[in-house]
This record gives sequence, C-alpha cells and structure tokens, in this order.
Amino acid sequence: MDQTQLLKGVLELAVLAVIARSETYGYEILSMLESAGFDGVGDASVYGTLRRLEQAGHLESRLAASDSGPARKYYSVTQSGAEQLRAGTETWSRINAAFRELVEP
Amino acid sequence: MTRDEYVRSVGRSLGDLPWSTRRDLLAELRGHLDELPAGTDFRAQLGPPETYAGDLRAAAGLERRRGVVAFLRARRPRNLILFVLALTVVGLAIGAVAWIDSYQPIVYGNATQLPLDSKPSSGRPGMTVVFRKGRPFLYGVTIRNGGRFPVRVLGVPRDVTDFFKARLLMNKPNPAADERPLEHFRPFDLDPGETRWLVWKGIYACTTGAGGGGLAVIREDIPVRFKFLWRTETTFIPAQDPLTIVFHQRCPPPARHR
Repeated sequence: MDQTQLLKGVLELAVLAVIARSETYGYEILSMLESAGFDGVGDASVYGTLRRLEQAGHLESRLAASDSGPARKYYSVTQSGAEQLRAGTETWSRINAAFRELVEP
Repeated sequence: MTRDEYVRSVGRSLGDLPWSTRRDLLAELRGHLDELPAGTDFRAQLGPPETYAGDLRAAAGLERRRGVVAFLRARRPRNLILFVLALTVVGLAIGAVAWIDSYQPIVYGNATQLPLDSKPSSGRPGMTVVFRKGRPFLYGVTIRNGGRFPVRVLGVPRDVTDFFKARLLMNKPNPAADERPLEHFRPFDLDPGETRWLVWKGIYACTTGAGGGGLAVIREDIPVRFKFLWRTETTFIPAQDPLTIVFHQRCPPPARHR
C-alpha cells in the first residue's frame, strides 16, 4: 500500500512536532522527517505545509545568516501551534488506538 | 537543469499566484536547493518542476486563481506600476497630440475695415460693394487670440473671392487695438488676448476667379494660416459682415488663370 497518502495525513503534526523540539529550518526539518520514516513525503509537500502552518499562525519564522550559503528561514512553534500539536496528537492517538482495536482484537 | 532553471519552471507553474506569495515560495525553494549537495540532479531529487509546484500548491492550500484580479495580483507591483505609468504617459501623449491637432484659438476681433462705398446688403446680412476695376480697395478685419497659448500667424492665403491686387498689412499690437500705424505683413506671434489688424490695401482687379455682368461673389470668412508648435494649419475666421462684391461688367481672369 502506498504510504504517501497516510504520511501526508499526519504531515502537519509531524512538522509541528519536529519544530516543537527546537527552532529549525526547512532542509533540517526534511532531514529529520526522513530519519523518522517520513521519506515518502516530497520536499514540496513539506515546504507547502510549512507555509500553510505559518499562514495559519501556528509557526513563526525569522531569517538568519548561514555559514554555508544564503540566509536560512528558521521556524518556531507559536502558542497556537503548540495547542494544535497537542490537540492533533490526542486525536491521532485516539485514531491509532481505535485502529489497533480493529486489527488486534 | 540548473537551480535557476528549476526555480523558473516552478515559478511558471505558480504563475497565477499573487506575486508576493510566489516570491516567498520561490525564495524558499532557492534556499532549499542551495542546501542540497553540489551536483544534485534537481529533477531527479525533487521531481519535475510542474509536479513540485503542484505538490507545493496542494500542501500550502493555494488554489489555482483565475480572472482579471488574479492576473493583476500575479504581476510584480513594480512592473504593474511601470506598466500603468507607461500607459498613462502614452495616453497623455495621445491626448496632448490630439489636443494640439485641434487647438485653434484665433477668432474674429470684433472690428472690420470695409471697402469705400460699401453699403448694407439688401435682403441678406453683410455689406455690398460694386467692383470697379483699378479703383482703390481697402478691406480688413481684426483677429484675436482667444486661447491660452500663443500661436504664430503665418499669413492669409489667397481666396477665390480675392478680386483685388493688394498688399497685406498689419498693425503693431497695442492695448487699444488701434488700426494704425499699418506696416507690411510679416509672420508674428499672436499672444493670448492680443488683437491685430489684417488689412488689404490695393486696387480692384480681375484675378483668380470668373466674374461677370450682374454676378456677385460673397466673402464670408477670412482664411488665416497659423502655426502652433509643430502644426501648421489654415483656419477660416467668419466675417461679421459678409462682403458681397457685385460685378456690373465682365471681369475675366488673367490669361494664366484661364
């Protein structure tokens, strides 16, 4: 089964979770997601999600100089983003538990 | 495919988005591509630019936009302003040219010098004079600049009703618009509000047209050639008193006019 669609469903939460650990930038977020197993999600989907979360006020960003090239856009989670992450995590946990009930009777 | 080519292709696929949104997305993409190891095949790594743009659009929740407003918002504000400015300048230039081409401020100056022995015409407005070949002829009008800009008066073209041989004279500008002293005509600038006399002084003569026993010609306006900026034109100033010249004898034109 193509896991991409499943991953996309929780991508928003995953992105929030990565950024909630510490302020970080796009490429690092991608790397962390890939390390965590989100390697089926395209780069564009992650950047699009970052933009959507920022537009919704769940993230804020700042530009900071980089040693290896142009300035990087660093993201951090806002209060609203933290609440979104908490609520989303709870929802996901409930869904996960319900699903386990179905497949592991 | 180079970084810039990839970014440009993605930008083209996002061409309907507002310019500032597209700028932010592409700046971030540019930064992302810079993070990838040197020699990375962007197309292989990120997929075709069109697909990347589609995924980006979907994930960011950016719907495709259509219509005039979307088209205008997709343009860079600076370019839009420059375009509107250029359009305004062109419009103003066209308007200015049209205005200059129609500008004609010369009007009748409310005074006429009628030929000697002229009498009110019977049954029609104006004055009538009998053509007498070789007799003194004097006829003039005032012209006034009723506009807001000066024009250069170049002369008075010959008219088919010019049954006289005469010098065209003019007066110097004066507050009273006094006719005298008259001097030979030469092109002059007619300033706004200024009035000048244009007077023919000479003799009756058979010149350009065909007169005949009992016939008459009526001079209803005065042609004045003038120049305004680059435009030269002849305008016809309606005479307050149309001048009728009555011929009691035949008046054949000179041989060169036959």
